[in-house]
Amino acid sequence: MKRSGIFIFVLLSGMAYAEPAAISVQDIAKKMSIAKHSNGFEVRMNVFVTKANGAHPLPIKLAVIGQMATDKQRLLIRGISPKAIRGHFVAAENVGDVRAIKYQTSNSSSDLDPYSQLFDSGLVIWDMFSPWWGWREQVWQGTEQVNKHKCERIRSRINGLNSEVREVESCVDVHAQISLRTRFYDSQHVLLRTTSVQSFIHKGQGLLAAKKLTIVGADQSKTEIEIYAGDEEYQVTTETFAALERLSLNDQQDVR
Amino acid sequence: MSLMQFALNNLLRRPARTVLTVSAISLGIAAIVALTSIAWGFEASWQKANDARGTDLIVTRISSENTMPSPFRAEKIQAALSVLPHVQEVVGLLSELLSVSADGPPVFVFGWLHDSYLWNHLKLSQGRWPNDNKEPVVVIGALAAEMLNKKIGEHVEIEGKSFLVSGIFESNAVVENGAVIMTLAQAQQVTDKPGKVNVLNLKVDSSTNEADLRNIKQQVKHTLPGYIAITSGELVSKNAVVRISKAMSSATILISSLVGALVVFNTMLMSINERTREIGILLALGWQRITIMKLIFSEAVMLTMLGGMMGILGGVAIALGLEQIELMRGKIDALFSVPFFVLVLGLSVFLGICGGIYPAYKASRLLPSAALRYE
Repeated sequence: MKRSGIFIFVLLSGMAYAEPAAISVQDIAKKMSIAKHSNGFEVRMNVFVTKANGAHPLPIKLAVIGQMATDKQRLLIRGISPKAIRGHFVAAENVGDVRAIKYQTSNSSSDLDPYSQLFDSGLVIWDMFSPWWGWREQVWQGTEQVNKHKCERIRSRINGLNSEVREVESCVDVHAQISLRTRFYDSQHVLLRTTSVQSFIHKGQGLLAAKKLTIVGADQSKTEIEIYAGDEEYQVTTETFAALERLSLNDQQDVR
Repeated sequence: MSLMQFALNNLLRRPARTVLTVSAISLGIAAIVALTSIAWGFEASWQKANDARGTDLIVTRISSENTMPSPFRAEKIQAALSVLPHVQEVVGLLSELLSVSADGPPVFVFGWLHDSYLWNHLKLSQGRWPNDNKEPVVVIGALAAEMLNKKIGEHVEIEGKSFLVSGIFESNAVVENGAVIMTLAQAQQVTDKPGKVNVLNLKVDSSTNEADLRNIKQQVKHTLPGYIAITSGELVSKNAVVRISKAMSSATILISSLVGALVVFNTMLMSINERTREIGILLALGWQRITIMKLIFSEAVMLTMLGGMMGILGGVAIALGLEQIELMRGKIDALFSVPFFVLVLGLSVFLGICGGIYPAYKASRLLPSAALRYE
C-alpha cells in the first residue's frame, strides 16, 4: 500500500511537471524556427494605433516582403499610406544579429535601431524575426488556453545580449505552429510589450497564420494589425533587397 | 358556418395571443427567407459574373477555397493550357478586396487582360475603356461609382497609387457593378504580384461538347499537378464563404422550424385547454372526433400560413435592407424566387401540422361527459 502510494505520487508529480509528452521544448523551438522559413512572401497590413492617451493617429498601410532561410533572414517593409510614409522603406536582416536600415531611395540609406517602433506604431522589426527561437535557454512552463486555443507556455532567455529584450514568453499552439501570445521582458523582467493573435488564416494541414493581432505596449498603447492580402510565393528579385546587399558589400570593403 | 370560418373565429377570440404567435412564426420565417436568399444570391452573383464573361472553364489552384483563389504565376500554366484541344483563349484575372477610399468599405479590384474577351459583356455608360495595358486608369461599376462618390476624371487611390477614373460601366452581376476594374498589368503592379493571376479563364470553340470539356478537365488534372479546371458553378460552390453562408441558412431553417413548431404547439395546447367545455359541447352535439381534429389543424395551419406570409414579406424587406448597408453594397445580391416562397409557405403549413398534431389528438380524445364537467 505504502509502495503503491509512493508510485502514484511519483507518477502524479511527473505528470504535473513533465514537458508535453509528444514533443520536447527544444523541438518546439526548432519547429517554430523552421515554420517561418520561406523563399519569399508578401503580406499587406492595416495598422491601427491607439496611443496611451487615447489618441488615434491616421491608420497605416504597410507591405512586408520577407525571405527566411536558416542562415539568413531578410525583411523589407514599405509604407503604402498615408502620404507621410508612402515610399518609405525599412530593410532588415538577421544574420546572427538583427540590423536595419531605412531609406526612400535605395542608395541613400541610414541605420535604424531594430528595437525602435516602426512608423510610430507598436511594430518592432526585431520581433518580426522571432530570433528567440534560436536562443539556447528554452524552458517549458506549462499549458494554458489563449483565445480558446490550447498552447504551451515557453520561456526563452538569453544573457549578455546587447538588447532591451532578454526574455520572451511565448504561448505556442504546437500543432498550428503559431505563438498565440508573446510577452517581451527586459533584463529586469519588466514587461515591455505583449503581442496576441486575435484571428487566424487557415494555411491547410492544421497550420495557422495570424490574420489579426494586437500589440500592447508597456505604456498601454495599443497597435492593432490586420492582414488584408498576402502572397505565400512572392518572387523575390535582385532588386528587392538591393539596399541590404549594398550595405553588406560596403561592410566587406570596410573590413578589407 | 363553415369549419374554416369557425376556426378563424376561434383565433379572433384571442387576438393578442394570435398576433403574438403569428409574430413569432413570421420572425422565424423572415430569418429563413433573408439568410437563404442572401446565401443563394451570393452564389448566383459570382456565378453570373463568371458566366457573363463567357468563360467556359476556370483553371485555379486545387486548394483555393477563398472568394478569390490565391495567386499563382500564370506564364507556364497559360502556355500549357493554350495548346489543349478546343481551347480558343486563355485569359488571366487578378483580384483583391482592397480599400479604395480612406473611409469607405473595401471593394473588389479586378485586373483583366486588356483587349481580352472578359471586357465584352460590360456596358460602358460613361467615359472610355483603358487604352492599353500600361495606362494607369480604372473603370468603375455603376454601384461602385455611387458608393465611392466618384465621377469620370476624378482619381481613386489604390494601395498608395493614384488612378484616373476613365469610365463607368454597368454589368448584370452585382459583384462587378460594385467593383473597380483595371488592366491586368496595372493590377499586378499595384499589388506587387508581377506575372501572377488568381484564375485563368478558358474560352473554348463552338464545336466543344460536354465530353470535350470533361477531357480538358482530365488533361489539366494529369498534366498540371496542383491545378484544377472547373466550371464557374463548381468554383463558386467550392468557395468557403458560399459554403459557410449555406450552412448558416440551413441551421437557421432547422432552428426556426423547431421554434415555430413549438410556438404553434404551445398556442394550440393552451387554446384547447381553455376550450375543453366547448369541445365537450361540440362532441355532445354530435361532432365527430375527426371534425374536432380538422378544426384544431385548421387553426394551427391558419396561424402558420399567416406567419409564413408575413415572414416572407419581412424576410424580403430584411434582405433588401441589408443590401443597402454600406459594408454589404456591391457584395450581396439577394435572390428571390416564387418556387422558394411556395416552399417556405409549404414549410409554414408543415410546421402548423407538426405543432397541431398532439393538441388535435388530445382534443379529439376528450370524453363529452368529462369535458362538460371541466371547470
